Amino acid sequence: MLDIETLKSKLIELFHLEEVHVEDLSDDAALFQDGLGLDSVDAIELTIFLDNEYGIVFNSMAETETAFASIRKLLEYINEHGEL
Amino acid sequence: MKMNFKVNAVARVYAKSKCDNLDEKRLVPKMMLRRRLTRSAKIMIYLSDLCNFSDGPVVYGSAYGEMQATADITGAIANSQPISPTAFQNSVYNTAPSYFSLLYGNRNEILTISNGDDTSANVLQAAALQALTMNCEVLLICSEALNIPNIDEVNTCTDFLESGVALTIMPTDEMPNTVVKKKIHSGFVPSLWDMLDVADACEAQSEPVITLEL
Repeated sequence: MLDIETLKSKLIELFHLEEVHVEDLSDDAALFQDGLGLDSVDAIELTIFLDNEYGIVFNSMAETETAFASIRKLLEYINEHGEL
Repeated sequence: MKMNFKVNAVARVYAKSKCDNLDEKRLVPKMMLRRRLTRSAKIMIYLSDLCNFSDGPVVYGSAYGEMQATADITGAIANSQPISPTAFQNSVYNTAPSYFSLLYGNRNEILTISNGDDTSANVLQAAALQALTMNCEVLLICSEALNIPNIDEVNTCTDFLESGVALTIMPTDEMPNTVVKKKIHSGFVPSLWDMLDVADACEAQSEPVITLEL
């Protein structure tokens, strides 16, 4: 099982979020727009990361929207569908 | 045709491995933009700030371009991995001036030149023409950022893996008071040499005016 602190740490590293620490990120923070502020390029970067790290390939836009809704939702999706 | 140009600002930066004081947190306060900057972009933004230039035409040159992003892409291909979209968008030669324009909202013309060892000579020519036709100040920058893993296995041409030189010029009717001499700038990538010649001459002169051949 992946824990939320580890996931936050991986996201900080993946997106080069300088000066952001694990404790700064709320579990329910949105990944895009008003939350972490990620953009469309980051969405592709995250998709590639999930495939490389956890063998996750999305089959529909609805799945992506669910998984990318927040850090907590992403964690739940990885733990449910990922190769851990 | 020869024309005279006033050199309003000169700046340079270089380091054997990595320039560690590019002041990027002050110059690029928005972290979400800063996190994407390449080394060349950071060098360019730093030098343009030293030249007090944020709005106007830009001519940028680099012989080797975005080495790290290119290495990331070729490494991914070699390992049959998907290509990072960030590496892809950062791999083009005009990455640095594009981030500069994004940062300052500069909508003026940008020209990017890459021509091996003649890069900075061509940048000088292009910028002179640009300044003349638009009758305004133009920023010229040449930079190289070669500090990627394993570079020592192939690097035989430079001691300074990161380097950049910048000038701002504008046309003038004044007579030249500065003679630019061609020199060998040992340790620097030859693509910068012609602009380093101008920088050396102008730093030793108050309100320098030089002649450039178009």
